[in-house]
Amino acid sequence: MTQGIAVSPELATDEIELARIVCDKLAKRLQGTLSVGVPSFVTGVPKFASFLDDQFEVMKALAIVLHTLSGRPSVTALILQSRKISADLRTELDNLREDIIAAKQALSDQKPDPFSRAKKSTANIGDLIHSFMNLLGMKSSLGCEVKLLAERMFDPVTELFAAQSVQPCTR
Amino acid sequence: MAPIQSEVALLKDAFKGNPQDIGLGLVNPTTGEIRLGSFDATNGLGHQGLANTIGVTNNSAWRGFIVTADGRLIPKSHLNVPDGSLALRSDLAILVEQALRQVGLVR
Repeated sequence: MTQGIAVSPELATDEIELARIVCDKLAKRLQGTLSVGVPSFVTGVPKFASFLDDQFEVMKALAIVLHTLSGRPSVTALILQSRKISADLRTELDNLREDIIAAKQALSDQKPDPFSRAKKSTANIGDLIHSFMNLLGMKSSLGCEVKLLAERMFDPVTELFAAQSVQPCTR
Repeated sequence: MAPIQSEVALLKDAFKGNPQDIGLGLVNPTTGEIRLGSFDATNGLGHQGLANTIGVTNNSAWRGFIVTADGRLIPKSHLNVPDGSLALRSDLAILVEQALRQVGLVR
């Protein structure tokens, strides 16, 4: 939410364009990470730990780029608010990574809804992307698309795991 | 239908450059068309990234799979969920395996 801060024309258009591109890359890489990485619990491909490390390193780097948004003194309040969101985004990416790792163990332990925390973290990331873009006055469905990932990406893995009655791959 | 030779060559090159890279594949159940790309080449965007790269917009008409540098076919993708699970339909998995074996991507 912008909380009453109007987007100033003094915020350079190239800053806004950079933010738009980075948000787009972050959202799509998250989709790629979840769609290829989470099934690896069952398939063993790609190697889970290194794949997750690589992808989250890149996504956090993208969040850091969002943290570099800057402008004239007149938009300081806006910039500070954007940095709060980008910092929260980094934290939530860390949470999601940990939640995915925990879900692997929860699957193995046959706990109900092993991805519940990962779904919540994914939805939070969607909300933060939406907030960031909204703050800069950008109209986009990216945040909503990320929130949809939370509904689409995890349950099929749980179902496949149950159907195959196998232990998660250890790699 | 055989995969596009240039995509096969690019994927083999990608595997040579990075054996940890992953081959992403799309198959059209209606036409049998197979499209390939590497995870790295799609900039980490997965099957959706491959679809975007090659201009596929009707995602629901395509199914997905993974092939590894050491020649394994992993017939799993979220694009297969409309058929009931992550698993590629068995008839399509056989078709893909045969096609990829012929071009040396599956051993």
